[in-house]
Amino acid sequence: MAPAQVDFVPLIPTIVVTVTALAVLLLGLWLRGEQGIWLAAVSIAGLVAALVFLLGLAGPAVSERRAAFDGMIVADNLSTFFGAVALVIAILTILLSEHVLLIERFSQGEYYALVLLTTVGMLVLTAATDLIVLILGLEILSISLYVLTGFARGRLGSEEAALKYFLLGAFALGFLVYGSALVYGATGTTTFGQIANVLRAPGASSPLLLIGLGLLLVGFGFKLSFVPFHMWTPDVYEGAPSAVTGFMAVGTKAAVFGSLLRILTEAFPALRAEWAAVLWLLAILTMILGNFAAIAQRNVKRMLAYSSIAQAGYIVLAVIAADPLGRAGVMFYVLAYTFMNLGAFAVVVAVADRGDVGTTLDHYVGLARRSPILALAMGVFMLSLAGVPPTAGFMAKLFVFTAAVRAGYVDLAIIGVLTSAVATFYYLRVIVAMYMSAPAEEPAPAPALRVPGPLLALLVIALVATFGLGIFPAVTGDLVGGTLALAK
Amino acid sequence: MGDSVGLALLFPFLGFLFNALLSRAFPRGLSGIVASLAVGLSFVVALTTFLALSALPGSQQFHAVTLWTWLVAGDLNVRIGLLVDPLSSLMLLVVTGVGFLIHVYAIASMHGDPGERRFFAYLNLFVLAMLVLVLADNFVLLMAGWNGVGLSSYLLIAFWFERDEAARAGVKAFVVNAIGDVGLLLAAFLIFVSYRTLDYDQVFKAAGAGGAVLTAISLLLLLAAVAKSAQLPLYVWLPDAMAGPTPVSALIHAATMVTAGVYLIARTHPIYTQSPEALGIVATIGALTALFAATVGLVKPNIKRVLAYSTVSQLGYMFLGVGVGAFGAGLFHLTTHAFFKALLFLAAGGAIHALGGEEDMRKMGGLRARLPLVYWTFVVGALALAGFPLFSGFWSKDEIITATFAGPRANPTLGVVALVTALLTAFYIFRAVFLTFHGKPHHHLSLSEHFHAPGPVMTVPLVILAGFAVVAGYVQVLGGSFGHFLQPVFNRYGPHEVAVALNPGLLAASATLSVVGIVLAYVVYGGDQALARRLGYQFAWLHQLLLNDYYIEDLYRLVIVRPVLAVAGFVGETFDRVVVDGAVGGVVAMVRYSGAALTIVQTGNLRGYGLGILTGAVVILAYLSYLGGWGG
Repeated sequence: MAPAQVDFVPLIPTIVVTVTALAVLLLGLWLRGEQGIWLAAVSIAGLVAALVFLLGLAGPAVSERRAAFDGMIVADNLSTFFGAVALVIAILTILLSEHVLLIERFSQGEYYALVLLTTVGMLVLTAATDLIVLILGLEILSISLYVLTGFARGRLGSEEAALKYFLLGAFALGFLVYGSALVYGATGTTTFGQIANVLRAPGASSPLLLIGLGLLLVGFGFKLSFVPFHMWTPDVYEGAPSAVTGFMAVGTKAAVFGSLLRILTEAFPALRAEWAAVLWLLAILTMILGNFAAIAQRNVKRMLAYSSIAQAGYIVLAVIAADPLGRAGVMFYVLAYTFMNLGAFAVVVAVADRGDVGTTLDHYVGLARRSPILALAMGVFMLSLAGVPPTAGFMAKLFVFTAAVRAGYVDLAIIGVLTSAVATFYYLRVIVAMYMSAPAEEPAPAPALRVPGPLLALLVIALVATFGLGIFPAVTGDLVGGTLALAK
Repeated sequence: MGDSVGLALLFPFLGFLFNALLSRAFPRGLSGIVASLAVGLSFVVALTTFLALSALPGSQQFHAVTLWTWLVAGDLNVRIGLLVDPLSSLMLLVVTGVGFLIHVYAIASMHGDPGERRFFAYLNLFVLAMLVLVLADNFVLLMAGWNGVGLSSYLLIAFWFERDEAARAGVKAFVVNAIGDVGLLLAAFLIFVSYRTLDYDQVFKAAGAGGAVLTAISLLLLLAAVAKSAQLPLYVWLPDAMAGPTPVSALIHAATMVTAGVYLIARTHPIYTQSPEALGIVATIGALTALFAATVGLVKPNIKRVLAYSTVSQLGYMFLGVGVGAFGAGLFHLTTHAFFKALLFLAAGGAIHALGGEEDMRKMGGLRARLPLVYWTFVVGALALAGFPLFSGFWSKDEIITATFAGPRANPTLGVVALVTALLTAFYIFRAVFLTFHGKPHHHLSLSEHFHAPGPVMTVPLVILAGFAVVAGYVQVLGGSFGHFLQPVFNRYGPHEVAVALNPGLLAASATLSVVGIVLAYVVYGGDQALARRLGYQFAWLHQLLLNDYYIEDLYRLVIVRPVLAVAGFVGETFDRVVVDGAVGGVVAMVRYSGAALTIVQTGNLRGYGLGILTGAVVILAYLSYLGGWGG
C-alpha cells in the first residue's frame, strides 16, 4: 500500500476557520461586554479569509477536481459552492447574533467559537468523499449545534430543546453509522468513488447494501427534517435562541444537502431507482405535512420550523432529478433559502426582545408602525418563501419544479405547486398581522423598534440578495465562481 | 423599431423607485405628479410603437426584443424577452392610456391621504407588472407579470389596512389569485414537458400539430384566466376588492388587470383553437358569469359593488367572445369596456368624494343638480355600458353577440343568454343612475358647504374618457380597422380569426333590449321608488337570493374554507402531538435510550419522536426490500 497522499491545500479554508475559532475562544477570556464587537470582527475576518482561500482554490478552473488524502476529501465545484455558502451563512449569523449576545449577556467568545466550529463541520461535510469523513463532519457540525441550542442557560425551553436535539440526534447518528458499516460490509470500501466502482459490476446489489443505503437515508432525513423524521424540528427551533435557530435552519440545510447530493450521485448512481423511490415518498410526505402543519401555528418560530421542513421537501425534488438541472436547482434553492430565511430570522430576532419572548403572531401585529423597515423586510422574505416573483424564492421554485418535471416527476411538481399555494396562506398571515390589523385596544402605543447596526446590515444584504437572485439569477450564478453553470 | 418599447417599462419602474425610496425628501404632492408623468411617458412610447406598427404590412408586425437572459440551465432557457405585435401594442396603449388618466385623477382624489406616496408607488408598480404581463414573449415572464399584478392588486386593495374590511378583502384576493397562479404554473410545466420550451413562438408553432395535451393545457390556462378575470366560480374576490381606493377599482379592477384573463386566452389562441372542448367551456363560463353577475347587480345597494358586478358580467361577455372564436371581438369589447368602465368608476368616485366617502346609493340621490359634469359623464358611461345605440359598448357587445349566433363556433343558446344579460345590464346601470343622481337628496352633505365638488384635475380625465366611451366604437365600424389591425396576430399560426359581419336584425334586437331596460329602470326607480319597494317585498326570497350572490360565498365557507382550516389544525396538532405521542406503547430501543432523560425533560414527546424515526426507518427498509424484490 502506497503511503497516504497528503495534500493540505483543499483543507486550507477549514484550517483557517478552525484556527480562528480557537483564537476567538482565547480572546473571549479578555474581551467581554461591549468589547465583544472585536470578537465578531475577528470571526468575520477569519471567515472572509477562508472564503478568499476557498474561491482562490477554485481558481480559474472550477470544474477541476482535486482529491486529497486518498480520495477522502475533495475540492471541486460542489464543495466550493456549498463551502462558500456555509462561510457566508456563518458571516451573516455573526451579524445576526452580535446584538443578542450583548442583551442576553451570553458568553461571546464561546458563542462565536461554536459558530465557527459548526462551520468547520459544514466545510468538512461538503468536502467529504468518504463515509467516515462524512460522519466526522456531520458530528462536528451537530455537536456544536447541540451546545448552541442550549446556549440560553437557565431558560427551560432552550435546555429542553438542546437535550431533545442531542438525544434524537444521537439516535439518528446510530442509523448513519450502522448504515455506513453495512455499506462497507457490502462493498469493502468507504470511499464514494470506489463504492460506485464496486456497484458498477452486475449483480453487485445486495440486501446488505440496500439496508445500508436505507439507514443512511434515515440519518440524512433526520438532519434535513424530512417527514417522518421531522418531529424534533419545531420543538428545537422554538426552544433554541432565535439567532441559533436561524443559523441552524440554513446552515444544516446547505451543508447536508450538499453532502446528500454528493453521496447519492458519486457513491450510489447505480442505485438511483432505489434512492429516488425512497426520496419520492419522503418528498411527498414532507411537502404535504410540512405545509399543512405550518398553517396551524401561531408562533412565528414554530411556523418557520414547519416552513423549513416544507422547503426541504421542495429541494428534494431537485435532488431526485439528479441531472445537471437538478444539481443547479439544489444549489440555487439552497442559496435563495439562505438569504430569505436568515433574513426572516433577523426580523424574528429583532422583534423577539430579551429572553426570546415575543415570537407569537400577536407580537407582529402592527409591526409596520413600530418599525416600517422590519415589516417591509419581513414582508419581502415571506413573499419570497411563498415563491412570489420577482424574488429569489420564485426562481428557486421554478428551478426545482422544472427539474422535477424534466426528470419525469410531474406528480411531484404538481404536489409541489399545490402545496406551495397552501403555503401562501401562512406566509401571508404574517404580512397581514404586520400591516393590516391595528392593535385591538391601544392602551399605550408600542414603542418604535430600533434595529441595531449589524442586524440592519444583515437585512440589507438579505434583501438585496433576495431581489438580486430573483431578477438576475444568471448573473448571480456567474458571480459565485460560475458554479451554477457547472452542471458538469 | 420595437427596441424602444423597453422604455415603456423603464418609466413606471423609475416612478416606482422614486415614490418608494426618494419621495420622502420631496413635498408629498410631488409623488402623484411623478407617477402620472411616468405613465404618461410610457403612453407616448406606446403610441409611437402603435403608430409605427400599424404603418407596417401585417407580416412584419412581429418584433422580438431580448433585454437580457434571465436563466440558462440545461435546456431551460429563460429570456427577459418582449414581443411587440398588434395585440401587445394595443394592450400597451390601453393600459398606459387609461392608466395615465386614472393616475391624473388620483392626484386629486388621493390628495391629503397619509399614504399618498405609498399609493403612487404601488400604482406605478402595478403598471410595470401589467406591461410585463402583456409584453412578455414567454410563459415565465408572463408568470412574473401575472404574479406581479396580483401582488400590487393585493397591496392596493388592502391599502387602507386599518379597515378590517379592506384587510380581509386583500387576503381574499390574494388567495383566489393564488389558485389561478397554480393553474398558470401547472400549464407552464405541462407546456415545458410537452414542447421543451416556454417561448410563445415555439410553443404556438408546435401546438399546430394538435394533441390531447392541448386540452389539458387550455383548461389549466383557463383556471388562471378565470381567477384573474373574476369569472364563475372564482369571481368572489372582485366585489370585495372595491374596499380599495376608487382609482384602484377603476384601473386595476375594471380597466386593466382583470382583463388579463381575456388577454391570456387571446394570446394563447393557437392552443385553444386546437381544443374545441376547452373553447366551449370558455364560452359557457363567460355567458353564465355575464348573466349571473348582471342579476346580482340588480339589487346591490353599494354603487361601487354594482359596478364591480357589472365588470364581472362584462368580462363574461369577453370570455364569451373569445370562447366562440371571435378573439378580435373579445378584445374590442375589452378596449371599449376599459374606457367606459373606468369612466363609470371615476364618475362614481366623484359622487362618493363629494359626499365624504358615502358609497350607499340609497343615501345618495339628487346629485344631478350639484354635480352636473359628473352626472353627464356617468350617463355617457352608463349608455355605453347599456349598449345604447351608437355608443361604444353597443358596437363591441353586438360584435360578440353576432359571433355567438352566426360564427363558425356559434352557440345560439349562449346567444340568448347574452341578449337577456344585455337587458339586465341596461336596467341595473340605470337603476344606479336614478338612485344616485335623481330623486330627492338623502345625504346630509348634499346641501351643506362641506360638499366636495371635484376640481378640474378630476373632471378633465372624466371628459376625455367620456369622449372615448362615445367614439371608441366607431374605430371598428368605420372600415372595420380594429379587427383588421389585430388580424395578423390571430392568423399567424393558421387562420384562427372569425370575421363576422354585423347582423342588422341582431343590432335592432339588442338596441331594443337596451332601450327597454333603461325605460324599465326609469319606471321602477325614476320616481318615488314605491314600486321598487313593493317588488322587493313581494319577491323577498328572490331579493335575498340575489343580495347574497345565490349563497355562493356561504357555500365556499362551508365546503372549502372550514375544512382546510380543520385539516391544517388536525395535521399540526393532532397528528404530530397526539397520534404519535399516543402510539407510544411498547416502544423498543428508544424507551431505554431516553428513559433517564425523561425524568429531566418535562414531556413525553421525546419517545414519540424516537418512535416516529424508527417507524420511518422500518417503512423505508420495507419499501427498499420491496423494490429490491427480496424478502417480501
